[in-house]
Amino acid sequence: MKVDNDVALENRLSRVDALLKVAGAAKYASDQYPAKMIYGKLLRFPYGAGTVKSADADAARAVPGVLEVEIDLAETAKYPGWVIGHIVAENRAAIGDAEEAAALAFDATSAASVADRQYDGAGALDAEAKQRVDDVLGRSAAVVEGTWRTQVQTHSCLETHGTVVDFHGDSADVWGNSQSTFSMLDMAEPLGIDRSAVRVDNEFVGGGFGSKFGIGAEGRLAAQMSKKYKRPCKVMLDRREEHLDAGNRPGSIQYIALGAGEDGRILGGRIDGVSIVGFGRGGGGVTNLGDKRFDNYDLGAYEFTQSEINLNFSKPRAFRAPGWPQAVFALEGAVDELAEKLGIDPVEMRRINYRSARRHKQLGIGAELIGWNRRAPTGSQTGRVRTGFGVAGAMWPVWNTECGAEADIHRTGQVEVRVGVQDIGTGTFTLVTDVAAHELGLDRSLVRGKVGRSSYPQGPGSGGSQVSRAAAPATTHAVRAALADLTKIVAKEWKMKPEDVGYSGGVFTGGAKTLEWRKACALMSGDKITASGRTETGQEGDGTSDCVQFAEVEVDTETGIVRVKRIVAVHAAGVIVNRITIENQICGGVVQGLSYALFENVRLDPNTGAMVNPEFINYKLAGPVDIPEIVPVLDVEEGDTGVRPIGEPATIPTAAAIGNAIANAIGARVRELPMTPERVLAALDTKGAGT
Amino acid sequence: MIVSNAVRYPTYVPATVAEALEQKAGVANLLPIAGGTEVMVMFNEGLLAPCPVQSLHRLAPEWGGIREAEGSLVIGALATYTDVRHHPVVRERYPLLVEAARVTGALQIQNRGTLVGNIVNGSPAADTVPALFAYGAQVRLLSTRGERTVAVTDFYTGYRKTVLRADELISEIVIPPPADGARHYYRKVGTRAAQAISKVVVAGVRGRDSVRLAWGSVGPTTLRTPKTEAAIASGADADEAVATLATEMSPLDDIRSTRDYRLAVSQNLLREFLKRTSPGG
Repeated sequence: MKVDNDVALENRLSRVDALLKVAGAAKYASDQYPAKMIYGKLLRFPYGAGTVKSADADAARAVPGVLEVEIDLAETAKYPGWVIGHIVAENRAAIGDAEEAAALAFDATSAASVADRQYDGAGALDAEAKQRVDDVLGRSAAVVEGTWRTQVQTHSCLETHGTVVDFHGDSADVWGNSQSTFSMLDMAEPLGIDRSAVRVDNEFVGGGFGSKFGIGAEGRLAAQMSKKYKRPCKVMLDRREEHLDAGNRPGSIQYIALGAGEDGRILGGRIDGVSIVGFGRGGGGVTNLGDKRFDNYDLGAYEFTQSEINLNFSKPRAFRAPGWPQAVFALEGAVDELAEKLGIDPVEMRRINYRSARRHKQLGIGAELIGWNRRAPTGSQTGRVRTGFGVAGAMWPVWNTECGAEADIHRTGQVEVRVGVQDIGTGTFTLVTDVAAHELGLDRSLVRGKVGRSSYPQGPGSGGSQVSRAAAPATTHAVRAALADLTKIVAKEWKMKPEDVGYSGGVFTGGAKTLEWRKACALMSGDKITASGRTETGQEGDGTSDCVQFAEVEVDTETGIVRVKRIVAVHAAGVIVNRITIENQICGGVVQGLSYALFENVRLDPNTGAMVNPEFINYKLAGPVDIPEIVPVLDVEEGDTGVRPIGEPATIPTAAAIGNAIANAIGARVRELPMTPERVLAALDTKGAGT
Repeated sequence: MIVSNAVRYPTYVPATVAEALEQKAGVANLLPIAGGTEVMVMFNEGLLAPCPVQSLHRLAPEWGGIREAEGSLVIGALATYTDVRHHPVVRERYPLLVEAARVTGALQIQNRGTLVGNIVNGSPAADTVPALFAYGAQVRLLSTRGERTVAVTDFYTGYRKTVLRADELISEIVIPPPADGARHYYRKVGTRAAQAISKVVVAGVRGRDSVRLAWGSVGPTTLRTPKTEAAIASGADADEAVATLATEMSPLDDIRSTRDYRLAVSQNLLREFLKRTSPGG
């Protein structure tokens, strides 16, 4: 029997930690103020490349409250935000004063800040490959050829990266906000102690989106300074640092030439994906289209090439479905253009070309809910404000990871479950609590799920949307093991064999005897029973997380402003545990996708290489008024197994669906993200249909 | 810098207008604060150079209100956006001000921020200033030397530069009544639906034989377009008016938008203005 089938317990209860968070009682790393704490701050180079020309470190050291100032004059900075030193002080104000007193001056050298200056078209194909592309396009009834561009996006976590380290000589307490509780044990290295001597409290994490693995430069500084000064040290990045050097989604330039037959079937062509990455690699390119494991489309016979353009910008980090939103924006746009040329409805076009039968069904659900029959032919509207509808789809594969859990049943009847994995806002607290409550048939108020500490059993980091998938079966196993122990106690009391004692819904039964949960627990001689459980790879169930999203937009042709009116997001997520947390994840993914589609954009000064918008005044996230009605639909089928990923797929198709809806509204396509009013108006102008 | 050191911003809290003016005359670089919605943001971001600060909050009894005087509307220096939005006379006669106050910042900002603060910081993207231009508002300036009144259209001398002298404080804004039957038009075009600095903002008032148009975010200061106004007043059609606008407006590229976009959208908004305020419409 697979464990996954036993967590089918869909409920609609609110998050168990909702009140803590709303009331401000949840303590994040930045809320930690151990006695005698000192503060550290990294100093950063502001421009694309260069060196520190001059600095008055002595003046900075002379500022009252300053403990330490280090400025590396020999360092050659290679991107804006490059670390050139640090300041440690008794309080934050002293750091500010010291930074001013240091009077840093810089020599900026030339930096690569404009991707298009390095782009010279799609990479070369060998003669045979080129011939294959020419052949397939030659026999196509319709061909789309174009170049799509996507921007660099930063993770913009609500809680900036940061750590508090309190070194005690032979052990240390660490308060972090990591996507991987156990990666924070890497603190052992700068502290020079054993990993087992590091205690990590990573209970509350204000978002990560892929950017918060490992200890980071901030954690390393906090560790070094705590060790050196024998006091707790806090290093929190500020918003500027967060944009500059705490992760980003690489941009892209994607050349696509695809052909299709009269019947709409895509025959093939070529896709060339160029990732615009900063210093160093990582973060996922636009490689996933070419990876046939991922099974999004049947693209026929196509050539896939990829390369990178390096800018003087910080290293990318994994970002919620790395590589996917950019790739799907371009591909789904190209497929829409093919459909338009062939006179085939975009939903039908996807039925013809999506491999997944699941997604075929989802297309029907979404089309009905968005009101696809209201979709006017592309470019047929003439009013100032025009309405458009668009669709796009994606999928997300599953990864299976080992995970441990521990469960206590207390003499009082209370149950506590501990899993070391973190809750980065996704709802792990709730998941663990609800799985345990369901398994025991108890009211949730009797169960307390605890996560995010290194003293709890180990589990995966929050990457690849795998935590719920791994933590749910582990919790089930641990709770079952504890229940088995309690059953033995009841059996002993009743002088029966444990296998003759039944249990269901909080009541033990044996022959004519029954015993309610609390009374059974009271039979314990000690205070509690503790048992552990593990998820072994292969127990998580099968299936992928397929999805389609539909968008309805209004485009103001006077200003080019796009208002998204509605998004219908149809997602398969396997077995549903807590419906509210899943719907939250879907809505959150849609909001982040919408923000990516219309607003977010890292802007580098082409002259100095500085990021000109490292804040939230000019780096715009979607605001509450920009967020439309979002209709999350969970596509659950009889026989679905396993808790499946939802965090990442939820953000993949949104920008593509919005882009397709804009094209439908105005009869012109914006092939570049973000789809700003300027670009929409320019597209209208090019079409000759501007007002 | 992650945070400013409050110790380096000595704060003066005058209890009377007279005391405020004496401080302003006597303390070099004294920075007045009303709602603090601009200054405190800069402080928190470490962008405010240390300076003495003058909190005006105790002057609310004298400078806090909105009243009518001799047919004009008088908005005190400490009147907030929220005060403006909810004042019955403003709502009845000055719809552009209501709309401009509505689209400025968030409700929290509107509760703290003042209309005069929006004027005095000199931003060419200020959302309420075009409305004040369109209504022909006057700015009253006080100092220990006396009082003077300047038309808001003469208040700005360049990018973030004003005629305000070092010893002066703005006490109030005086706005004459709009012509009977005048039609009002206001539109803000921002990066997103709310809480975004404008790419283009326009306020217009069209009377029986007069037109006043004021634009924000398209030049170094808020500006009027007198040739376009004259063309419309003398009966030019929309195409002519739009062509005239292009001869007297020369916006710039910046982080929020492009010259081409600003000009194109200004022209589109001018058409919309003409349609919405057409005497026969």
